[in-house]
Amino acid sequence: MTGFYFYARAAEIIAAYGGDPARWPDDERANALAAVSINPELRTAQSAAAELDADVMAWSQTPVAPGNAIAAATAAMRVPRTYLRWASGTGLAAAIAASLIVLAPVHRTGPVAPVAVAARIVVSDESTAFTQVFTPTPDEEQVL
Amino acid sequence: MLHIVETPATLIVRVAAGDVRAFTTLVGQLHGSGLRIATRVAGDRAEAEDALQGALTRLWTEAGRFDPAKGSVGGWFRRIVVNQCLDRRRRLKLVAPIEAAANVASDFPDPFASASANARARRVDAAMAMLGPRQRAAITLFHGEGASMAEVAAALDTTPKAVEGLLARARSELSRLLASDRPETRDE
Repeated sequence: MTGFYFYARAAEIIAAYGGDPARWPDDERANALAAVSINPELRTAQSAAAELDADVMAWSQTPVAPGNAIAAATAAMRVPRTYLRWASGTGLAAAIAASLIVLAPVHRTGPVAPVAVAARIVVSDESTAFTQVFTPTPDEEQVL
Repeated sequence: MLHIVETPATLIVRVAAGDVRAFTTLVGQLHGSGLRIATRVAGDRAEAEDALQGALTRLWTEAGRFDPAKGSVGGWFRRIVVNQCLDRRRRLKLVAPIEAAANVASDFPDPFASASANARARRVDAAMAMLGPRQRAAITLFHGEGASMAEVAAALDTTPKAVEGLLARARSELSRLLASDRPETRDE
């Protein structure tokens, strides 16, 4: 690898990977180091990148207050696995399709008595009722 | 007494079979790094905890989908955490009315936290908050977690070449932000 491409690729590597040659791609490290040793601009770029690396490392290693792993695990297991599988996109789509098949031939002509669940919900309008009866998960939103 | 340390690879098999104790042990091993990554990517502790909780729920329900041929449990979980963070961010953008923007808390660190940090760290923190979440994720994984370019690409559902570009743009933007920032006036 020689010429402009040689330097340009070394500059790209420094820009993306930073100033530490240990993090550079294994198969390109030797060429990039050779380019840096020859080209003063690349040396300047490498030392600037190393300064930024130090800032980024300091930022990324600032301690994060620990959370409660046990509580998180317990909360994660609160929803039964079978329910979640059913409530996933495929399961919900199948449920909707099945309900359409079952309900499609039914034509109600007479008055319909309100069901017990609906009677317990106090709502101001239809959209509020919908949110109280059914709050979709992100997967369900995609299906809907 | 011989104490056997269970690896994530053995635990995930038992989690897939519904073993509650294995799941609790696995969460104990992954929770710290998951919270660290989520906090960096989300830029907000509460948001990070919600994203991590979503990731743990997926770990519990989707453990059977883990394929050891495609990488480690840690890498797989990292990918779930990052995706949860990015998904939540996307949803927030979609549902927030424009009027609400005036009331949204700043992404910058709160004054009390900033006061206790040194000036350079404060400026880096503020500059990081200005980056996009995918850029923060790439920097967090590559520099913070020491992940390889291929691992970052897997976590972000993209190619190593695309991550190279993402990291280069993130680092360039960060340099620009830090250079344009005025030096702080020091009292000492």
